Amino acid sequence: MSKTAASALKERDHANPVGAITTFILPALLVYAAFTALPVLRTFYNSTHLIVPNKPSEWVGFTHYTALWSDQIFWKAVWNTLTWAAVAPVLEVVIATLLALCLYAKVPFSRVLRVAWFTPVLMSYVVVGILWMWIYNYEWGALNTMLRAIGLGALAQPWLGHPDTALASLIAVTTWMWTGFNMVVILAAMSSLPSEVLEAAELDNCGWFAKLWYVILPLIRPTLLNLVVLSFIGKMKVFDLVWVTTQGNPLWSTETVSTYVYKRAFQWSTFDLGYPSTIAVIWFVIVLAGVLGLTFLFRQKDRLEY
Amino acid sequence: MAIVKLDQLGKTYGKVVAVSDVNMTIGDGEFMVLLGPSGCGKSTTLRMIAGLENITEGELSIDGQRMNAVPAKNRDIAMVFQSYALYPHMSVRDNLGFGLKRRQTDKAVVRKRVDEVAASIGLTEYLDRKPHALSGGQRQRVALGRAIVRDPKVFLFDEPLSNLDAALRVSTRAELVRLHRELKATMIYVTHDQVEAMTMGDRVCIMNNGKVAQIGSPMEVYLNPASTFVASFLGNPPMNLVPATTGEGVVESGSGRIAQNGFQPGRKLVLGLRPEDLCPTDKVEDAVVSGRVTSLESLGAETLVHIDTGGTKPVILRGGRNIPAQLDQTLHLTCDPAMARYFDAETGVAIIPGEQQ
Amino acid sequence: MAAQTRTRFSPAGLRMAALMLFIALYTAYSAGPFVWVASMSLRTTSEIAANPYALPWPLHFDKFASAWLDSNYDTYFFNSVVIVLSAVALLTVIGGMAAHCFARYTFRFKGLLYFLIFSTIIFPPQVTVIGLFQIMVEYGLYNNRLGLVLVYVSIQLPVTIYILEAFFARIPKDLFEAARMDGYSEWAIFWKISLPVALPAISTTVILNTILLWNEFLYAVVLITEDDKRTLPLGVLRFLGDQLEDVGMIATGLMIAIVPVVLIYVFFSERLIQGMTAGAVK
Repeated sequence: MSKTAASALKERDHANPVGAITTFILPALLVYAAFTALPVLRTFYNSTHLIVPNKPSEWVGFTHYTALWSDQIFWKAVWNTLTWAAVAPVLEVVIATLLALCLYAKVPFSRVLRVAWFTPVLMSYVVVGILWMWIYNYEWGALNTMLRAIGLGALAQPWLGHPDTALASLIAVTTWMWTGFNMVVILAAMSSLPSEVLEAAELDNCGWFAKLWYVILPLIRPTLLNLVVLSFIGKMKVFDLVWVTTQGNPLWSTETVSTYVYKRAFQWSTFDLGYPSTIAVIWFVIVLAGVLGLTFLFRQKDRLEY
Repeated sequence: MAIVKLDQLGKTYGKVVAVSDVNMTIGDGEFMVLLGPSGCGKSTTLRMIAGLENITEGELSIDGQRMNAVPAKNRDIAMVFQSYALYPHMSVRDNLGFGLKRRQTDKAVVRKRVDEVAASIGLTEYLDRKPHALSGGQRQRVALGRAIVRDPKVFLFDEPLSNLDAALRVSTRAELVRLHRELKATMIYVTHDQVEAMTMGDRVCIMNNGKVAQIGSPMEVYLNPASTFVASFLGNPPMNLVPATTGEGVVESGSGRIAQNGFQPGRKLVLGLRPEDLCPTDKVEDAVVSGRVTSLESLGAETLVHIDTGGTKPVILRGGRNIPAQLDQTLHLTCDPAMARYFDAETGVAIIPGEQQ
Repeated sequence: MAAQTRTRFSPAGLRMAALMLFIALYTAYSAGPFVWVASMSLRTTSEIAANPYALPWPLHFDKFASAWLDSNYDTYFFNSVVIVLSAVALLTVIGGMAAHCFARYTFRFKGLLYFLIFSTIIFPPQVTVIGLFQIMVEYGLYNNRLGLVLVYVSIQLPVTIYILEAFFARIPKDLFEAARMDGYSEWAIFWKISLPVALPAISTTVILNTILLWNEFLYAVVLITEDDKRTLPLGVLRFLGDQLEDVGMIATGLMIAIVPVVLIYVFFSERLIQGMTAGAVK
């Protein structure tokens, strides 16, 4: 063995063999590069081009961006999505906390209840969408039937057909889906609280409300905030439910950014992939800002309180 | 069987030096103990021998063959881990046979060998259990058996007894010594427990701050520590270290003196006195140290007497059960000059009177 | 105890009653729709038209057979099974390997790679879907089941790696070093130690990925247009279009899509809940 070969071998790291590391990580990296990174870059590229079938793409600078600025449907979609992303997380986490408290207080049948509440999240949005279209049906839907049965028939209306109620009705559906999921996470966080702390609170003569407010909730705060962020991210992506039920109707009142991108890219006969790519890029920036903002906000608060 | 040679072995992580300049040759069939406080580099040294850590300086050879670039799996070394590292999803039998199966494809041979080893360490009836169904001592034996089955060139042990309770530790210690005698294998054993080192090792290598402090037989390092570190690490309680100055034919401890020729007068050094070599005396002029008794610890068979001689640490005397000492009494202690040890005040290195200076 | 004997109108009793009412209302809201669709799936449309909320009697199990036979449900179901199972198998191997790599080794750019893969969790899908559409057309993977499998692998890869990495990282390092001393290669260690020891986490990700991909809609609707390649969610929507007013038949179609999920849930509820909530527990 020559001297240089020996020193080269000496450099080799037995604990971290390069060959093995490469073999292990390469398939994942290839999938990531081909089906995530490349498409994202492609979308960014698209956003400054006019992409029409059977023609080479044409550089249009920031034309799409300026057009987007005055696209009222886009801003309507942004507004709807942000409303959804602001309201739904709060609803979900608050109701989920109440439900988790019920189970934490050891009400009877808690196992069955947990299963019943969690199940909606396992359903496909397609199934959920069709199901709720029926529930919201004006003539024989469950909601109106119930309203009529308790003498509130005057309130009955085509819930998904009216611009004033459509978005709220859809928010109720995502809340239906996700509250049980949030409840399970919160319950897990509560169950893993150190029992000494709760016992200490009891010795301090805490009532159940004081215990909840001053001990339990502050301790599970990180979980709650995390759930809010997760739910926020999820709602910023909403597509399937809207697509199955209203497709953005009536009068754009349920249009979300996702459905608008889809329409502009694959449904309207504009045949241009550049403009919808611009929407996607701008939306990407908004989501990123939202997530960073929320993270920063929650972290800041934590620092103030502890 | 094998001779393991470490030649200026060193390990640096970036700029942090974990181990440096380790030289030793472990003879064929020798039981070498690496002893030291936590973080002294003994485990890192062992893991470099195993091939689990890269060697950044120096050379490791086994039977004259350079091993630096040989991956762990080709070094033919077995290791017993502190946590035992049993494969939780395999039965005891599969755990024992796992290492053999890679080299020996004949299933019947593997089976026979596993049965033999299991019988020799009393695991036969547990062969079909999973590790989680075993007690701590049984798990430890499986870990041991897994190493034995492979009949490797070298056995490495990384604090294998530290997860056992005290009684089991004593019996396993004896078992390991017996195994070493039977297998006549080269074994390298890392521990921070000096009792294990003293009772099991053919030789002990004491390490501190990534360097070898001393290598020698257990009694050698106990009687003639090479530095104040070794002196204060070995023994319980450890050697008393008293700042002293040399005079004409004596060494002055501040509270007494001891006859000693061979030193230039006026030199500052550290006087080392083993607690068991000290003895109370009535004659003040014979006292090497004297002072007030500040506490008495009766351990049953013996008594430890703490004496305040005016230094920063008390001097401790190990005496019999009936030692005539009382709290607050002034005690004068004498010592056989042949048993006194001297260290350089600055470097802490042992000095032999009459040599050099 | 003494307090309990006179709870009838005490605040504690009222509180309990309010609690129970809240639980009952929420349970009706949560489970009611399922009960309703399940009962409708066993009734004919004319029965439903007469009274949408009557009990399913007599039971028309034959509706399942006709839903299966008269439309392309068997094709959709088969496509979904093949696509989801292939994607889940690939995910387990590819994700497991990458997770093992992240948990076991240190190497250059590890932090960067980890960050890149994980940042996709917050990406809105719009930002990938258009570019993906163009690329799939160019690769010849548009309207192609293999193409959808690969896309499914890519969208579930981050969360799979996330769950498995957390588990692999908890396996004591000594175990791998022992196997290394026992003479096994890195590759053999992955198959013989990592995967078997991590079986609980593996099954969690398998179940989670199965459910999520079974329900996946957006990428399927963008990348598949030919009827014989549609997955079940697309098929259900198609079925809705075909049977527009045949509510009873559609309900049966919905049940066919729901039943596999419910079966998985019944058998693996703990694992499933673990997987679904893995990213949320802090």
